[in-house]
Amino acid sequence: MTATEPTQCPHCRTPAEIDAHFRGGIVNCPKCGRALEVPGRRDATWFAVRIAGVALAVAIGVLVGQHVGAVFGVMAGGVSLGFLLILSLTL
Amino acid sequence: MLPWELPRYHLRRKVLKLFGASFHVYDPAGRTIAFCNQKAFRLREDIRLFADESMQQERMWIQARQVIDFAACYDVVDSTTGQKVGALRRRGLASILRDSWEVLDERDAVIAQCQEDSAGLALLRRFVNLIPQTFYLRAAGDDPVGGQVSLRQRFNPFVFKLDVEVPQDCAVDRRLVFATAVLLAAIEGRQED
Repeated sequence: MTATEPTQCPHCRTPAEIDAHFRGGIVNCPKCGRALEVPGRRDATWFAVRIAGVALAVAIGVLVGQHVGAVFGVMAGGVSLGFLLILSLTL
Repeated sequence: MLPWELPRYHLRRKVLKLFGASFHVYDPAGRTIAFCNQKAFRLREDIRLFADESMQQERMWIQARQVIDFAACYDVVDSTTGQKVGALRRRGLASILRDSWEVLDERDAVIAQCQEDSAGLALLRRFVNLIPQTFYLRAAGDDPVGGQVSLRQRFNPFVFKLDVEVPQDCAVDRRLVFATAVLLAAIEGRQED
């Protein structure tokens, strides 16, 4: 039995069970035939990248904190996180 | 007439665009038949096609399914009917040497393939970025039905330009052919920046 993702068509308001394979994508409503977005993004890679980004920012903060001072370490970690966020939006 | 109904059209990337990307689509006479806008600051690619630069009448919508994926998949919606037409999926591993895309129907079944012209030239392009790319799109199967679509990049180091020729007996939905051209201009054109 294939996994399904429950959703509702925004056009005809009909509840629908969409194949989980289409999570994060777009399918046609089984009733009215119009396109609807399926929730439940499958983004394992993006999740891993975010974790790695946070880990990198923490590592930078710790390194700077050890050599310069705790306050600067926190600032460096915050700036790194902010930079990574901007980078992720502009790439 | 809708832009994808023409047998020949030309895509040109807008040069002075700070954030995101935009493309004009021209008919053989040089008239603007569509305007594509790629939204900036979006984690997932979101490309909209409009009748003209005023962006009042949306014709097509292309959206990526995931933020990052080795084999990225893009859903194509015909905004005039409000229905999903199909999808385009990049073949991650195969694209390392030679850019390859799969054209899917609304149920994600492969109906066509789009590939760079030759493996040798594709490999050379990885080192010499100035060599223009040529893609051929053909219905899938051992004995494909209909003629093949050609998508040829023009040689221009400054502006990305793509010529599309669709044969009369093309078996693939022309909206998907159009979406392929737009995605190639957006994705492959960005790689050259």
